[in-house]
Amino acid sequence: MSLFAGTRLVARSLLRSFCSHRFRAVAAIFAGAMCIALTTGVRVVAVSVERAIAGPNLSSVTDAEWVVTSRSASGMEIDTLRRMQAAAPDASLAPVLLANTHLAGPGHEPIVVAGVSGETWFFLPLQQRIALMKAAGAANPVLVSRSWAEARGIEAGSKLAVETPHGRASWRVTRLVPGPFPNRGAFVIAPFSLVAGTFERREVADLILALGSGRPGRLRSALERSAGPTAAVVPPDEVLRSYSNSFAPTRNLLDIFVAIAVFAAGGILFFSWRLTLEDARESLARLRLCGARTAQIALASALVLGGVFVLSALIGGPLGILLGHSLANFSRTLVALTQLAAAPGTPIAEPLAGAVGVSALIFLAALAVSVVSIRRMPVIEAVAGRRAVAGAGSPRSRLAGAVAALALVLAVAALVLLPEEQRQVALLPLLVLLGAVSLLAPLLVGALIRRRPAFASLAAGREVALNARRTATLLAVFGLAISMAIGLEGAAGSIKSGISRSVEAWTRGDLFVQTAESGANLQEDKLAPAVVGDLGRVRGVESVGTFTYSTVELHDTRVPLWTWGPRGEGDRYTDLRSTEGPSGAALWRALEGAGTIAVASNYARRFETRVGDRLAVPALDGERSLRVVAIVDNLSSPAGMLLVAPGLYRSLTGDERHYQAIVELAPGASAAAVAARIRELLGSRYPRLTVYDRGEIRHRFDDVAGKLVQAFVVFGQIMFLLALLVGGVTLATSLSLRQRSLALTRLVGAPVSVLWGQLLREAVALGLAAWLIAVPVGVGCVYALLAAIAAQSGLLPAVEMPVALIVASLPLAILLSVLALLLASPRRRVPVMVAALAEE
Amino acid sequence: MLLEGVGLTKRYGSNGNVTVALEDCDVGVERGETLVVVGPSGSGKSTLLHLLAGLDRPTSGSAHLAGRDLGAMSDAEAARFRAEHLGFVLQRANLVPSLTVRENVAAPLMLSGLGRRKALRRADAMLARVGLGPRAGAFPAQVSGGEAQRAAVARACVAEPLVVFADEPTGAVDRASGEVVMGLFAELAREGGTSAVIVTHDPGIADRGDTVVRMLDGRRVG
Repeated sequence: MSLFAGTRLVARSLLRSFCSHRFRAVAAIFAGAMCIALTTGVRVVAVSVERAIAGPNLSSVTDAEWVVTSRSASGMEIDTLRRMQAAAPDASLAPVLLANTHLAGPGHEPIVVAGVSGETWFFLPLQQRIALMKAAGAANPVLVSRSWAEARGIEAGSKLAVETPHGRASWRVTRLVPGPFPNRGAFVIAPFSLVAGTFERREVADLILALGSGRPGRLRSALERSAGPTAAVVPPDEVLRSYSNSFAPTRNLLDIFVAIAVFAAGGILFFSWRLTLEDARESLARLRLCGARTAQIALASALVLGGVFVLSALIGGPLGILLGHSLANFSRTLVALTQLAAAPGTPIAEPLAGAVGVSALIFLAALAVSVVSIRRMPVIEAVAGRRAVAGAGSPRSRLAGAVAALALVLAVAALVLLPEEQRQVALLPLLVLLGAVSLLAPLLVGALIRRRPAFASLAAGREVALNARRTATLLAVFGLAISMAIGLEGAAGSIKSGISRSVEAWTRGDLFVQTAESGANLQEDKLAPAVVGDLGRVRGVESVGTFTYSTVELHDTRVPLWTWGPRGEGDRYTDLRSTEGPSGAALWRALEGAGTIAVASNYARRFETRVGDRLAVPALDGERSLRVVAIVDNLSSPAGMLLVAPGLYRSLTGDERHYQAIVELAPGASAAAVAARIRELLGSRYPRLTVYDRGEIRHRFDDVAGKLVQAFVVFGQIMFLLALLVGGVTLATSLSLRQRSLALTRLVGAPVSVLWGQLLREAVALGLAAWLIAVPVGVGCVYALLAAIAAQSGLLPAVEMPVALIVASLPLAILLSVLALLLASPRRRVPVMVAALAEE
Repeated sequence: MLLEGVGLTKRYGSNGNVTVALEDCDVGVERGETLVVVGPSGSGKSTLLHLLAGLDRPTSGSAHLAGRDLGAMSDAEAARFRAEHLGFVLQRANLVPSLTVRENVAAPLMLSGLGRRKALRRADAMLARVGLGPRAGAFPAQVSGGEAQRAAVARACVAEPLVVFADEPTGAVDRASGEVVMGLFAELAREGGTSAVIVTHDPGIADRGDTVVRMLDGRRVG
């Protein structure tokens, strides 16, 4: 046979076999489509988040060689600029103010406003733009990206309305600038003085652009020397790296979840496709008798499985995009938090390419393993129907037993003996354990079922054990899905609960007053100090505390710096517990000491900080060395949190305003009535004033992390259902392949009820065994996954087992196995005994 | 008459595309009698066997075994009847592949309600008689064609059925193995007073029958 003709013959045979066993084809396409959908879905979520937290890159709008960035959120004092100019007299320097705000109006679209001092042309890289600016002849030009403006119907001369801490500001657009702009075009260049006045940021700069005439390295050294510890000198494309780094824990968390979801989906896909060719193993081996070569079998299998792959991608791809789109809504919340422009639409190409790429690799792996397996099968076995039967003492089962025992010892040792944050090493032995036990289980389960006296039990036990390869594959699919679902939901749920508990610890007030909604309030949207006194006089208010925060750059990451006031009363509005050092009132007393600071537990874990260590915290006027007095058990902020007394906060940031006023109600006072009075009192001063009650504020802060982990809880559940469905359809396939065997059983006198009993026992045993294998592995995975997340992000909450899922997974696994029986409908198939017997 | 088929007819298809597999066929088998059905391929031998054994329903006519109309039985009744009163031997691949040889032989007994231990003991005794004692624990995939046929005969006779139906029982084995199989058949049938309906091409087997029915193109011709 020529290679081509032979391949066609084998492919046609395989295809016809597929058509005559529709369940097999349906199972393969269903598994492929669902796994591609799941992989695409998680990638859509991941890419959406990546886009949401990617900071704007300034390199597209400046020719500056270096950018000096402030390590304090309050910016650098203008003095810094003078020092730099003295240190690098030949360099051109320009201070820049950055403000995150929104377009006024219903869209509330986020934009970054850059206030530029000196000659505006310096901020633009291209000669054409310089010419454009000179032609414009404006003294204080407001520039926007042409493509961004045109998409919104904005023209030169139009008014641009932006939100400011005191309401709307309206600026006239001078020019539309062609070419790429940062922040996906949502970037406005305006005069320094205009931005400083509008956003109340006088005498400071967030960035200083530097362009020198000499060697870049020398200029950088001069800038670093003169800037001191309050600033960092970076290339333009790394300007907002520290903001982006503050989302690194979120990104790491996401990466781990995505890896687990893709791994589990890939595993299910591999086993399903492997089974597809496994079912055709004997007929393919028979074709070898006719002279079909391995290359022809491999090519033909690739052709047929390739068709399955293409169909799976065509169905699964769009499904995955829809799934990811519906679950990626928290990325919009992240966008609101970062106040950066969101990428329009749902990412499609990147997630789809990733999912199809992963599936293609799995397709090749399944194909390679199957072809090797077919080659190993002696041709005569396929023809004569004779083959070796695996037994409990076979070398393969002995090896599986030894591997399972070793994996169990290693996994238990890792989970019991290692510190909490190192338990991720248990992940590999746990997965090996699952695989090895799945190989052993058919023989054990078969023997257990056979112990029952009924004929149906005998037949079921033998079937489970004799078809050990198929049973083991099904157990691995079920087991992998159940354990990964438990792992994902356990880890995600623990983090969610940990964050909720953390938020509860600092939201003990009755009402929370802010200048605008959380997520929509601007960087400089803060309450004036006098507001505290005003609120204290509102009828129904017992006391007023304050919370405020800023960010400082430590370890190349923007870390939130928090404080509660008034002085000495932090404990009244919080219930912060420490894992190391004093808690509660004692914590606040310790923080009132000179030069002291507390850090959140996730920060401490991530940056290996202990009580007694010293942190060099950037301040407006330099750097302060602060002693760590406590590690606070708090996971609210993914980047961690630094906690100082209100006095120190003011001296570090120079800011006396408050992000939030916390109101304690007088006994008997109505929260709604007091909130209404507060709105009436402050509404004119703060047009977007927002008053939350305790439930609302907790919900608000839980939202982002909650939605992020919730998406993965959903993925875990989908994966679980997917595996059960794939397993169910595979069971149905095996049933349709067993028609003759079932007919023979009927021939010797088994009524349909006995067959049902046999099949039911097989299905229940399979579901139960998979559950028994998967639950301990899944529970171990929760600890291992949390440790892996802790190693990357510092987040290590108390473990919360997904008891509901664990309990529900057993009846669900069994139910779906039984549903698979109904799908295969033995009643409809088996009675055609004559036809089944005639197949010989 | 232990087994009687009257006017047995089997047609497949409908309207203008009808295939007549069996046309108006009468047969009868007395207790302890061996009926051999011979004829070329496609002559309707197997169809006759299937209808007499109640594995298929006739288009017209009826089959009665021990006075009972096989076509009128419910599925459960028919299954129980098969387990208690009928034995089957097919050309090959007779045995349930997931059961051991011993369990295959014990299956009709267990399905008739006998406890597993007792059924297995009787199966062991039967297997010893057919010379398969040492192979009792093997699966069908592990035994030779001749051994599988001997096991099938043992299974067909273990419950001391009223009738054993055999469709080309020696078709897939060599002459010597075929002789062994038929010898066993005759011996076990004689001892239990069992009747037999054997479909075959083999003239040697036809010679062993008490009655020989010749089939051609779906009709009994002799």
